[in-house]
Amino acid sequence: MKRIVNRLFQSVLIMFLVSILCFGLSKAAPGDPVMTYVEPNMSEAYIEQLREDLGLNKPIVEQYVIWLKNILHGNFGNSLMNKRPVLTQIVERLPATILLMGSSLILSVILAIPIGLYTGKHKNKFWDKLTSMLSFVGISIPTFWFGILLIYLLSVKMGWLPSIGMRTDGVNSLWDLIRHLIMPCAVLTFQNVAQYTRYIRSSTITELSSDYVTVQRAYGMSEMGILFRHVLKNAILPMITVLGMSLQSVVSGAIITEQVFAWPGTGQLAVTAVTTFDYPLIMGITMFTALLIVIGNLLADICYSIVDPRIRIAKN
Amino acid sequence: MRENLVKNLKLGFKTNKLAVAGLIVIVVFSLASIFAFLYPVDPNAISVTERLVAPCLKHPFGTDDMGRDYLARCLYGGRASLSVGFMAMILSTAIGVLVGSVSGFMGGTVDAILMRLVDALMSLPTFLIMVVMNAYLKPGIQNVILIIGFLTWMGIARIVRGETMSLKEREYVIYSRVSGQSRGKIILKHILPNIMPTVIVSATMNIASAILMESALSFFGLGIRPPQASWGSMLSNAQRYITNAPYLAIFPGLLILLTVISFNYLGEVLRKVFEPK
Amino acid sequence: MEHLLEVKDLAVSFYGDLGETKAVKNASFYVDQGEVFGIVGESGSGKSVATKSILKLGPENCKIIGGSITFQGESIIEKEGKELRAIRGNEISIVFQDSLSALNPVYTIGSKMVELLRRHNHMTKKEAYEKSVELLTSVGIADARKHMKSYPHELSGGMRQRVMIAMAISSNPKLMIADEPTTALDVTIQAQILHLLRDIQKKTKMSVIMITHDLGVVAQMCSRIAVMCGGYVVEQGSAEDIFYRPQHPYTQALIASMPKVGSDKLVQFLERNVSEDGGDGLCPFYRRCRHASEACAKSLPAFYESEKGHFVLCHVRGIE
Repeated sequence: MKRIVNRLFQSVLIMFLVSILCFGLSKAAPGDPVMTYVEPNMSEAYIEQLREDLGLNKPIVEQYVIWLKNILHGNFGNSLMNKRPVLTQIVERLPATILLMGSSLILSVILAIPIGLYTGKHKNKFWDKLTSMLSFVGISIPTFWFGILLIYLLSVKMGWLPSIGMRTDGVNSLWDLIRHLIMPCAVLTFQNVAQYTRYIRSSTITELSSDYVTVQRAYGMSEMGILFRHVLKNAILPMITVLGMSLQSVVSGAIITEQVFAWPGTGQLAVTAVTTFDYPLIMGITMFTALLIVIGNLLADICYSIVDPRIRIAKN
Repeated sequence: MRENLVKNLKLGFKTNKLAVAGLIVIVVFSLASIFAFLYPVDPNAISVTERLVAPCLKHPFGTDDMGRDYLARCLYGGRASLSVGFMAMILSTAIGVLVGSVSGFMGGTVDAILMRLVDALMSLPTFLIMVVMNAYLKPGIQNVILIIGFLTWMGIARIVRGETMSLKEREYVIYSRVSGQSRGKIILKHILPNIMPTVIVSATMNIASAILMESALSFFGLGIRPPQASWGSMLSNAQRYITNAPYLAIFPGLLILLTVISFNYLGEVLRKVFEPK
Repeated sequence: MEHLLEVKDLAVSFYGDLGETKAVKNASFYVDQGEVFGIVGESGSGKSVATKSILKLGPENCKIIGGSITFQGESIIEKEGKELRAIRGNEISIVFQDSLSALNPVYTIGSKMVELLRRHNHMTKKEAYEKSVELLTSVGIADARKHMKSYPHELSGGMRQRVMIAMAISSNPKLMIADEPTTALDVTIQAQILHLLRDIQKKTKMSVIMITHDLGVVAQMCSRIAVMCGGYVVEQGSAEDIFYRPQHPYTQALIASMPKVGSDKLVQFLERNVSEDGGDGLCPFYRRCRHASEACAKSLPAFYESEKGHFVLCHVRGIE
C-alpha cells in the first residue's frame, strides 16, 4: 500500500512539474498574447481593458495559480484559432488516437510474446538471428520514413490501401475504417514489437537458465511444460512495467504516425496547434497527454504489484 | 585489465560482422560530412531548369523540387544530423553523469530529490515537449541540440547512480574517504573511471536516439529549417513528391536508418564486451 | 549383484565462447541399492556436474562426451524426451543447494506439489492435495495445510529445503541425489536436515548420493565415499577406508585439513590455483602434491585396488 501511495504522490508531483513547464513555456513564447484577440478597429484603451480582463497584467505567479485552478475545474480555455474550448477539441479527437494506439498495442503484445519466447528458447539459431536483425531495424528506422515507404509501396505503387485519413468521404463501413487503419497501425506495431521482443527474449533466456527450471527438468517436466507453465509467467511479468514505460514512446510514435497518415487524432491536433502557435491548445494537449502517461504508469505499477507475489507480500 | 579489454573488443568485433559494418558506416559518413566541401556543388544553389531530375551522372542523387543537387544536400544534411547526434549526446551524457554520480554518491535527501526529478522527466511525453519547445524557441541547430540534450539525460543518470552506489561501498573508496579526500576528488578519481564502460555504451545508443529525434523534429519543419538541410527536413518535402520522385524520400531515409542502426549495433557490441557473462 | 547405478569413465565438457572446458575428465563410481554414497571434493572438482549428468541436467552448452551411465541395467545416455522424463523425478529425484532459486517464485508450494504428484501418478487434484499435505507433514513442516498456500520467499531456508525433500520423495524414487543440500543453511538447521534425510533413507530404503565439500557431513551419513579432484574420481572406498586409510595424497590432505576437536591447530590446505592443475592425462593433484614422482609427470596410472573395494588413482599411493 505504501508503495502505491508513494507512486500516487509522485504522480501528482510530476503533473505539477509539467504544469509549470507548460505555463513557463507559454509565457516565454515570443509575441504578445493579447494580440490574438485584437481586431483592427479596436482602440488603445479597449486593448488595455482587454489585457486587464484576461488577467495578463497580474503577477506571473498569480496568473499561474488562476490557470491551474481553471484546469483543475476542467477549463482548459479556448483555442486561439477557432475559439472553441480546448477540452472539447481534445475529447473529440481522442477516439481516433485510442483506436490507433490501442489496436497497435494489443497487436504488438500478441505478436511479441510468442516471438520473444521462441527466440529466447532457440537462442542463436537462424530465426533468432533473423528476428534480432529485424528488431534492430525496428528500433532504428525513422517512424515517418517507414510510413512514407509504406504509402509509396502499398498506395502509390500497388493501390491496395488508401494513403491517408481515417475514412473515405461518404463511406461509412467498418471495412473502410480497417483499410485506413492497416498502415499506420503496422508502422506503430513494427516499432513496438521490435522493442518488446527484445525484452521478452532476454527475460526468457534468464528464466530458462535459472535453477527452478533445472529443478522442473529434474522432476520430469516436459520442455513445453516448462516454457509455458513456468517461464512464460515469469518472463511476461516485467512486460507490464515495460508497457507502462513505453507509453511515452508510443505517444511520440503516434504523433508522428498520425501526421504522416493524416490520421485525425490528438497527435495531429498537437502538431497543428504547435505550427499555428495556438498556446491554449498546446498547453491543454501537453497537460492531457502527460496525465494519460502518468495514469498509465500508475496503473502498470498497481497491476504489477497485484500480479507478482513477491511485491504483493512485500507491501503488506 | 586494459589489455583484456582490447582483446575482448577484438573478439567482440570478430564475432559480430555487422558491428564492423556499422563502424565502417559511421566512419565513412562522418568523414563524408566533415569533408563535404570537397564535393564542389553548392547545396543551396537553386536551378529552375533542373527541378526533380532523377539520379544521373551529373546529379548522382538527382535534384529536389527547387533544382538543388541532392547529393550535396545529403552530405551537408549529414553534417547537421550527425553533429546534432554527437553534440546532444555529449550534453546529455555530461548532465547524466553529473546528476547520477552526485545523486549516487551523496545519497539521502539530495538523491531523493534528484531521482524524483528524473522519474518526473522520464514520464513526460518527451517528444511532444520537444515539438512544443521547438515551436517556442528560435529555430536553429543550437536549440535542437539543447532541447534533445536536456530531455534525454535521465537514462544515463539512473545507470550512473546505480553504479556509483555500488562503487561507493568498495573498500578502496571507503579508504580514500577515511583518509580525508574531498568528495569531488573521489568521484573524479575513483568513481568516474570505473563507470566509463557503461557510460560509453549508453552514450553510443544516445547518439542513435538523438539522430532519430532530430530527424523527426525536422521532418515536422520544427528542428533544422530550410534552407539549411538535415536528413529529416529533406524528408518533409519528399512526401509531397512521392509519386513522381520517390528517390527524394529513399536517399535521406536510408542514410538515417543506416546511421542509427550502426550506432545501435555498435552500442550492443560494446555492451557485450564490457559486461561479459 | 548388479549395481543400482553405475557410472563408468564419464567425461563432460562445457562449450563456451572460449572453447571447450573439461569439467569432468574421468569419473567412475557405482551406487548400490539402499546405500548412502558420498561424493566429496573442492568446488570446481566436477562433482556436481558429474551427478547432474546422471539425469542429463547440465546447461545447454554442456555435453556428455564419453563414458556410460547405467541405471537398473539400462543406459541413460541414449534416453531422450519421454523416456528420460519418466526417470527424472520419478525413479531418480534430486535436491538442490539453493532452495530459493530452485522454486519458481510465482507459484505456491501447494500448486507445485500437486502439479508434481499428478505428473507421475494418476491422481485427482483433491487426492494430490491431500497427499501433498501428508508429504509436507512427514518432512516435519508444522501447519502443512497452511503452508500449501505459501510462496517460496515466505518460508525460511530450512523449511524450503524440507519442501524440496518432500518433492524429492513424493514419487518413492529408487535414488535421491542430494547436491550440497545443507550448504546454504545455518549449522543448527543443517543438523536437522541431515537428520531428516537419514530418517527418510532408513524408512524408505532408497539409495542416496550425497554431494558435499564437507567431510563432516560425509562422515555422519555415508557408507561409501568417492573423492573427486580436478574432474577425476581419485579415490573410492568405504567410509572407513577413506577416513582411516586414505591412500591418495589429495584425500590425505583433505582429511588433514579437517578441524579436530581438542586441537587448536588448523592445518592449512595446499592453496589451489586452477592453472596448476595437471595437464591433460596427468594426475590433477600432481603439481600440488608433496610426493609427486617422475612417473606422475608422464602419465596417469590405472586404478589400483589397495584392498577390497578400495580404489585409488595414484603412482605413489599409500605414503603417509
